[in-house]
Amino acid sequence: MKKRKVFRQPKGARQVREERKKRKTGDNSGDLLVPELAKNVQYLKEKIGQSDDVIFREYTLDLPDPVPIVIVFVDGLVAKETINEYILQALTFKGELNSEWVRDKKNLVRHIKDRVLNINEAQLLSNLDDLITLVLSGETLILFDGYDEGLICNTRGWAHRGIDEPETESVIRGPRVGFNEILRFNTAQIRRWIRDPDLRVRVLKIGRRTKSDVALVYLEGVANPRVVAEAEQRLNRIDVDGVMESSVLQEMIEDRHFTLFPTIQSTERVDRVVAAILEGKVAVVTDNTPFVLIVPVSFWEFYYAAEDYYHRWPMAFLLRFIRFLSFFFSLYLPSLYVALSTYNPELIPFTLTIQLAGSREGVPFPLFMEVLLMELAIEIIREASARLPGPLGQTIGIVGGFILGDAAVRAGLISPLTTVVVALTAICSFTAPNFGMAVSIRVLRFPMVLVAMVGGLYGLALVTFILLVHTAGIRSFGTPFLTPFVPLQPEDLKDSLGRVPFWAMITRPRSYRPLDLKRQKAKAGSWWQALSHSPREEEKEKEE
Amino acid sequence: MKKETLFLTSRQIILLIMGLSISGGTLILPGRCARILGAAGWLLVPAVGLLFLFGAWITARLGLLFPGETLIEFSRRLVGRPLGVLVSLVFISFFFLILPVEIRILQEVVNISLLPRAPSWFVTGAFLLVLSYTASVDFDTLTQVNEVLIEICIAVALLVALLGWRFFDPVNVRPVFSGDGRELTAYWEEAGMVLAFTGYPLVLLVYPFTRRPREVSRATVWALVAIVLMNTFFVLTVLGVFGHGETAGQAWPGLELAKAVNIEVVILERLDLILVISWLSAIFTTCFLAYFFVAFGLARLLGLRRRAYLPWALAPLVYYLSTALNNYFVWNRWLAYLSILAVLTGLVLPLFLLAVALLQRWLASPAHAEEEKE
Repeated sequence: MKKRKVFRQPKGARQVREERKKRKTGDNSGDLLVPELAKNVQYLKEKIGQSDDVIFREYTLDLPDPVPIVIVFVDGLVAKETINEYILQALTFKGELNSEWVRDKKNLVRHIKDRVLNINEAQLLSNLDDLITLVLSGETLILFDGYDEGLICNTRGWAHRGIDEPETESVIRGPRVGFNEILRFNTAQIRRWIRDPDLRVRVLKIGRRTKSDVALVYLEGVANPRVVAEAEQRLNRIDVDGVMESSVLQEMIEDRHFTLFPTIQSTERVDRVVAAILEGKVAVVTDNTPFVLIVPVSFWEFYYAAEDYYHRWPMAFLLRFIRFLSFFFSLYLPSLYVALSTYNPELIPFTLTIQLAGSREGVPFPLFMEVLLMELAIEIIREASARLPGPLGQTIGIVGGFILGDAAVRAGLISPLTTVVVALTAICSFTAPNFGMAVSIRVLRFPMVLVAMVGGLYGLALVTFILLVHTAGIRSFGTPFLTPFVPLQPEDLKDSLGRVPFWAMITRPRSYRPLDLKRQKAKAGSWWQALSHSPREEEKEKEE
Repeated sequence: MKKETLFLTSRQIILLIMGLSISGGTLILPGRCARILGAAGWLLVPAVGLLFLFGAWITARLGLLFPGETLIEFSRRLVGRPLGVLVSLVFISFFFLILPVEIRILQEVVNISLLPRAPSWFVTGAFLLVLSYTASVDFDTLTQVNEVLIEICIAVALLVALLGWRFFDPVNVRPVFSGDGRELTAYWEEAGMVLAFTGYPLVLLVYPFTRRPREVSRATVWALVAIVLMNTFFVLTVLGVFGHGETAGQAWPGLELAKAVNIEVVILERLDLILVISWLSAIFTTCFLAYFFVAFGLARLLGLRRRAYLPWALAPLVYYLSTALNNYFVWNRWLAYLSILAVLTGLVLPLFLLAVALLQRWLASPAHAEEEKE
């Protein structure tokens, strides 16, 4: 893999000499503008002019000594009104052009940038590759005859979706704003929530061909600089032709590639990203997608919903408890059902055993096959309903789930108890707020049913050991995946299986090693503060 | 991101020692105590525990003298290369030989409670595969997994013991020596009980991974105190519930206690299986730790950079040894031999190495040099 430079390096003496030589000879084979306008235009036409959406508008500045110029932009990516009103109209405004500075020919382009154009963002550049990238990003390039610098103006403006409530993470109480596909809007939304001068937004370009903008957003002085540096380094290392979605980055920067579990969180919710940044995490915002990545993350956080923080804390406790119980059921219920029914029916209460035996009478498949087939059917129905448009998708869900299931039971193909178990498991799996984690658990269910069929409870215990060892070995940007439980971080338990009231959340989670540990000032002499910060521990920390 | 070395905390060290000590043997410990001392068998646990507490203290003292090194390194410096390698091999062999013994217990427990007709190759083979995969992890993962599993086991064991107090009869545990006058050779059969206390030699391999060596030595002693207390409570409960006669006749008194305290619930008919499954975790943690330290020690001894493949390479040997223990008598004899090794690694060798280390220090000290001059 080609290694990219992390920092911009100063140009070497040899490179400067070569560039000067190129300028003098008018050689355009390199990547710098030359004073001859025709050569520059020819170069650009060869590079991007083959496409009909790239416009080359020729124009002449009506100065005492007329200067031919060419305006280059991509139709559809620019706001045409901006070009017409604030570039062309400004350039034709004679009063200004007849003024004294017009005679200072050497600095004409700089003067136009500083005194003529009414554009909020404009810069002079001579590197052709950079100029092409910017033009293809929706900016407008003005090339002047006799000058080896181009004027690049921000005229970006294209059709975009408004700010909607994220469909995948809807809440009963809480803000109903989500990200959209425009990076700048997304970073602006975060900025609107965090009006702190320490909020940093660092934009990187990733993708050899798409040259997508990717922004690292974090709070300086709160986020751990090592995590920030690591995230930036991993992003810079990516050498791929295109970044279609943040999931591409997610797969490329995650700590462990061969695992079913996501180790980076993705969300569409602004409040979630803001909360994460305030906790000392780093957000990776990618252009053209509303899904923002958050690093580092622990396993349990995939089961936290944004809403947990908007309801009162006892409610949050209950909601999380239900979610974690659902996680357990969604992972183990079908396999436990197979294991107990096949190998240890003596564990099941007698009446239930009788019911089970009765309900399975006449079913042509062995139990594990029945469960696997049902699981497969549920997955097919889910996939079909997700692909179809809204109302039709719901219909498929009802037809597939209810009518087909009922018909299968009546036909004696499956037992009612298996239907109950599989349906309950499916419902439980939908309680996971993060789709990626829900899918991982669903995938795990299939091998677990097979293991239960072969090894019963013993097999399930062995699989659990493997899963535990596997997940304990995972890191998310240096943070143990099972924290705060493994390794035990007692102070972070305040926001884990449940959450304590906000007034008790004095410190940020230690697991993410934030620079600024204090989240709020506790009341002087508060018992809670005393509990959170023992002088002995502070001493220990200092020692470390 | 380069994985940061997370230094072991005192709590993690305590749990590591408990993880290696608390295992399948705990389930048969009450039977052994009852057979040796009858109704007063529970007193045997603190008595033997006290002896090994001394061993733990010596081991901790020894480690404290060489905080940045493992036994593999400092033993060579202390007693010379050949003897040092031999000492290291004794320790590694001790950890290694725990494996077939524990796997045999696992096979019995699985056959009794979970899969009555499962062939031994399936139970042992599947477990060894899982073990070989898991033992190739790094130190942090090892401690983290142990942290979770051993706490669950301890909690379940204590719960079972506490529930057992409903049937506790103090007459059954009167501290009068009511042994049945067994011959000394018969006690040899019960020598395996010392294995319930001898997990602490592993600290000699973890000192370099700790930030405060002094805390390690304290943690070692505390771990042993916790083990002694827990085992005493467990043995006392079993003896109190069944009486020494019945306990002595049971193969798995721990499992019998779980069956006795069963509470009928709506979802599951028998709750003793919860103890069995949680005890699988205890056996797993013991084997996991032992296997890890075998690979770790061998890698250090042989100067290998990677040790991930060592557990896989050793798996056939472990399998062969575990199948060689084909009946109770062979297994029990094996346990007795292993107990000798445990005494060697837990008491004799640490005492010898400590004496050598202190002697060397004294010889190298300026006071001694002055004495020599005089």
